[in-house]
Amino acid sequence: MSGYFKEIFDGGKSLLVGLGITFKQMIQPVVTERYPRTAPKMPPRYRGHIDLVRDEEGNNKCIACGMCQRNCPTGCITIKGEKPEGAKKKVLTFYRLDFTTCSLCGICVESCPTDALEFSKEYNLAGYSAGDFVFDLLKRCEERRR
Amino acid sequence: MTNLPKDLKQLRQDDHPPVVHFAVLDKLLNLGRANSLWPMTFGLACCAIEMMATGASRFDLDRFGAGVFRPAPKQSDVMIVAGTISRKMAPAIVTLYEQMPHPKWVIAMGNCAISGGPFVFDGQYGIVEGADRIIPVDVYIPGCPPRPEALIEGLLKLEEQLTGSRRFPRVDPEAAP
Ligand code: SF4
Ligand code: SF4
Ligand code: SF4
Repeated sequence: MSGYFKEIFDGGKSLLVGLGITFKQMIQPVVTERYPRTAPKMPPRYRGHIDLVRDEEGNNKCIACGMCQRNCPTGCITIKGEKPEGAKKKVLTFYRLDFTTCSLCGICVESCPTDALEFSKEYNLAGYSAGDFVFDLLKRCEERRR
Repeated sequence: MTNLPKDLKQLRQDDHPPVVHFAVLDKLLNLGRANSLWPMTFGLACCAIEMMATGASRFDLDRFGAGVFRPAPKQSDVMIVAGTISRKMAPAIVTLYEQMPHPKWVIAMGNCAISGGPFVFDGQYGIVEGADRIIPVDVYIPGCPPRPEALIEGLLKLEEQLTGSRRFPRVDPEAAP
């Protein structure tokens, strides 16, 4: 019989403790980020997929050396470059990033001799097919120019 | 062990189309379904940590009616494949998928679930290269891991697919410098 009343007492106590916690949380500031209605700002070192950096004139800084392509551990980068007639340096003609196998390790960014790569701030990508995430970075770079 | 298909052909969820269609009723039902997408409690690797974060109070999936993580496949509507699918786990995933009642949807969260992610290399033997090789996938969320906002975005995409319109504003990530 004493166990019966003890159970009621313990149950009531734990109920009050629980309600106390709920009430305390209720009057504290809201922590929820109201995502689709407010957009968070990514910190400076946030890693989205990589993007080409533009210089002052808005051109990419890539010299098509292929270091990023060779060093990527999962081979998600494919580049093509060519040397125009009479020019000294190679020009980038094609830069494809298959973001679906990237691990955001940053080796490409580290190994680029001209600092032509950076992490973008894309944080809310989602789509209906995996092919949506194979990016043509050269095209993206040119689109940003406009 | 199940035999995994070799080709990457994408499977679509029309294996069981409804026998009778009621246009208006279907729309109403889809509206209800879109706003109560109950995911299965089911994490495979590191991406699951982000999925748990999305369910917790900072991001709060309950705002979209999707916070009711169900511990049984028969109670859930959407399977969030969050993480690396090892060959050993693949038959279990197929079984869980088949145990879910129709209509059901699959979200491939993270690069591992999309294509095997960082584990893809010539001669790898332990990983299924993408959830869409074993079950039909509706929404893909890339990232390693994707941020909770991306998972929310994926669920909103699924809502959009169901109802044909979007209830929430679209967010443009800040343009890169
Ligand atoms: S971050 Fe790593 S995995 Fe991604 S493209 Fe660069 S080198 Fe490849
Ligand atoms: S390492 Fe840098 S400069 Fe070389 S190809 Fe890659 S992006 Fe271009
Ligand atoms: S995509 Fe990256 S974070 Fe997600 S499960 Fe694979 S390795 Fe882990």
